[in-house]
Amino acid sequence: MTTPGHLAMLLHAHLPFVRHPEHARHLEEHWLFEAITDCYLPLLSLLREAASRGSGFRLTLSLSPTLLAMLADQLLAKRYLDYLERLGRLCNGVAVHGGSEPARRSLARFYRQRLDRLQAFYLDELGGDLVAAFAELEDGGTVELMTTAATHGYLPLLRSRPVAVRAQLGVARDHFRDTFGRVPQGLWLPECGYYPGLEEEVLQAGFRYFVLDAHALQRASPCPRHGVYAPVRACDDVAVFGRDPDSAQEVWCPHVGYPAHPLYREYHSDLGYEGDSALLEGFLPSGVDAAPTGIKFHRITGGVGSKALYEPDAALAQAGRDARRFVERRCRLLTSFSPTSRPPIVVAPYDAELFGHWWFEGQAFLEALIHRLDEATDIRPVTLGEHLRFHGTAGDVRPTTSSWGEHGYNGAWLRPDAAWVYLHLHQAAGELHELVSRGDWVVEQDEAMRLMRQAARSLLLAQSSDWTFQMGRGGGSAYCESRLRDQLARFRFLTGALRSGGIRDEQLKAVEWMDNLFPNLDLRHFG
Amino acid sequence: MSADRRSDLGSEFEPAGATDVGSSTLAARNAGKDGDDLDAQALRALAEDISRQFVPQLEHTALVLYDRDPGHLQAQWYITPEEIAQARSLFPNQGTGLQQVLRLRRLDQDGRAEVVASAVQGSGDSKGEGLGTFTLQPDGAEYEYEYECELGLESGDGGWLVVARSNRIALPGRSIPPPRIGSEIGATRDREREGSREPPGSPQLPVEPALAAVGEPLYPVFPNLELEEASPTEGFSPPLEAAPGQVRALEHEPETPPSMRQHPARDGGTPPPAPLERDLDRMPPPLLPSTPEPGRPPELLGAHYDPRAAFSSAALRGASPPRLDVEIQAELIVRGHVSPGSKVELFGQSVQVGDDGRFCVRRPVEDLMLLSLAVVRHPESGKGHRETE
Repeated sequence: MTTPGHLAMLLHAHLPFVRHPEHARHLEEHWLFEAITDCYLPLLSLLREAASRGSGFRLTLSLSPTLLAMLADQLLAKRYLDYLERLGRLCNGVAVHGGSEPARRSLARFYRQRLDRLQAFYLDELGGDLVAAFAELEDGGTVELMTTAATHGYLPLLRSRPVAVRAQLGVARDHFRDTFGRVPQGLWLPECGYYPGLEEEVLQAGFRYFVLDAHALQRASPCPRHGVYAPVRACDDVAVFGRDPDSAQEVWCPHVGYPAHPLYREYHSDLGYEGDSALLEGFLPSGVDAAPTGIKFHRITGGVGSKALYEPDAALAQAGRDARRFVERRCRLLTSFSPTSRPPIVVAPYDAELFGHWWFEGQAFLEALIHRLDEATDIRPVTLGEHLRFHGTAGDVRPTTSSWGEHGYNGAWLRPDAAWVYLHLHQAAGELHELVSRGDWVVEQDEAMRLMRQAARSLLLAQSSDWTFQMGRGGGSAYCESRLRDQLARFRFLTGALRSGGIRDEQLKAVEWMDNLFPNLDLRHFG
Repeated sequence: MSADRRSDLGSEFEPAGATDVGSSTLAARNAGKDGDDLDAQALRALAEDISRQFVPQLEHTALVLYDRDPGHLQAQWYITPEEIAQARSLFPNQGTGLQQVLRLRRLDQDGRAEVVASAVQGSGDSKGEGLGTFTLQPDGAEYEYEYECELGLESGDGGWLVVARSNRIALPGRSIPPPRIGSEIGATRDREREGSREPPGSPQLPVEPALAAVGEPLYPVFPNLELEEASPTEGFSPPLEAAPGQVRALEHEPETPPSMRQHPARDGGTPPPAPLERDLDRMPPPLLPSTPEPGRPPELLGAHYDPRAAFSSAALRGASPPRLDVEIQAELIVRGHVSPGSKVELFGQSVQVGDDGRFCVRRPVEDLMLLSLAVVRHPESGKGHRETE
């Protein structure tokens, strides 16, 4: 009997650190709240349902340290409940609005009911603890958790200061261990960004495998015999999986990818942009006139001009058809290989936030996918670690520089609007390295440790790839540049205080509270 | 941070005194509080003051070369006012008429260097930072080249003073056409969409005919990633006027990075980015030309970044900068051969050992005494001039 081919679905869940205790309500915190509502809660729900009925589905799930820090944060948890209340009131407002068309009122009720279900799931079933829910799924074998660089720093452009790469990886590993009680095996490279030699840093940090885009292996030396359909070894005990280009294209292509189907919900048409300020007043932070609310009434429809009203049932049916097609295509590919003792593996990684947030029906697609896979006999879902454990690697290669950004290289993070940042990041990494290594500060030891840890947090936050990617790209650009400058300024403030002693305890406490991630940060990673 | 600056950190941060800040201070608002009890308004005042008073600024001369896109290198640089003044002072007449120039150097396997492109960055009077972009034209060589960048001052009569030198980037000498990734699938789905919304059965994928054509039953290599002689995609296109093997600097005005611009509006009010658009931009990428040749010793891990390279070479003679260009590159090269599979550590870093057991590490020599040993003598004048760092 032929060994079934393997399918490794991988979701990478990441958001930059958007916690703002210095504001009573902050728009960018909605990024987290929307992702919890649209992606993480539905994902947990369908995975728990699959596990409870004995599904064989397996998911590799990357949870970024910044996301985990926010999911575990009490202030954000409190604010999330407030967000749910506000969103519920907004739905009610539309549902009873005298001017609303019946179809819009019906959709508003649809959103309200969905929100009630999710809120009950969040509070009653999960007890408000998403991190514990993910850990429980891993304990049950449905999910294999992995991590990514501490603040999603784009490693190929940080490598001019190797200590910066080491700190990103070391802090991430420690944070995962502190959160889940074990050292992670898998590392998701931010943006799939790779440069030759990175595998040595990955090895030093204790990880066992990572994923690269297909062209990194296609141009590897030597070219791997099985292409992207078997993991290879990049250096001692570090394996590399290649991203399957077909399954990536089927989902990501803006023209023919599944989310572009005209029956699916249109993301960019949102109640928050319709200009009804009276309706939005209680929902948006003060001073914000227009922003996404998650309440959307139209489907993609196709072409320009007016959009047709969204029909949830028709969209859900389409998600089922797309899931069936996705599984059929993977099966056809996997069964086309000749039978050997080594099952080929298709690695299909995606941003987790695509499913449910940007592609509203993405969660329904995943749910249908799980059912299809349970029925299939010639394809077996696995996690990456599971496949590696049983089948090992197929040869040694040296991959090439690559990312999954535009043109597959580093350019997406080096555009003129953002390129100036890197000299600042290199300088700060070097400065912190010197401070940690030499210890030439003037303050007391305990205060020095606090200052250096906080400076390290500021530097890590400044290194997030999200800022440089978004700068100069329109929406959110100003916020991203502002965040980057704020973090670099805090770094200067703190390192200056180390040298001159000029900081008050309440000031340090306040900065620690604003950037409160990585409480057990180990400064040895920076020295 | 100076004491003066600390005291400038806004009234919110002054201790609660009898005469000034009263209950609006951070200390008073947050006395005895922790965590989410801290007052948001006071926190915001602190955050804004820090951002206003500690604007990011560069303090050391630096030049870093990045492999930006296939066939494109980008150099980012900064020079301190003190160092640029010192460099100018080494020229006659305080360096009037100088230009700041980025030179891209290509080093072959034997270490021979050739300047393959240059880009004027400014007049040399006051410009302290910038970037240069270079488009590479592969020459078909089967081996890798290393590239590095120099920032220097160039006088009208050919004088050249290196102010900073970058890390090195290794790139292959030949380009690779981009793959056809998923294009057939896209065409298939186009046809589906154009026809019925939900076609009966599944469409034929390109991988099957590809596999059939290969006829190789055991794991065909990249069955759906075929190489073809496709036109280079955007980003690969070589400059039309460049001859094979040559490089040019992109024709654009040197840009002043926005690091000194006004701080953008900080408060909320900006809509979130559009990750859908962002992520849909993540199209399957082209091939990348940075694979090392088999058998070539691996290079030192990571890129070299050494701002101490500033003023690492200079050649001045008499009243005008000389035509001869003496350059000192003090570098330690360690080559070795161990049993394959061995682990090697040098200078506290693990070193990649090739399949054949060979390794090579290059490291800049930091002993400036070495640099002072070089002497330039002119046969006519007989005068000697020591190199300066």
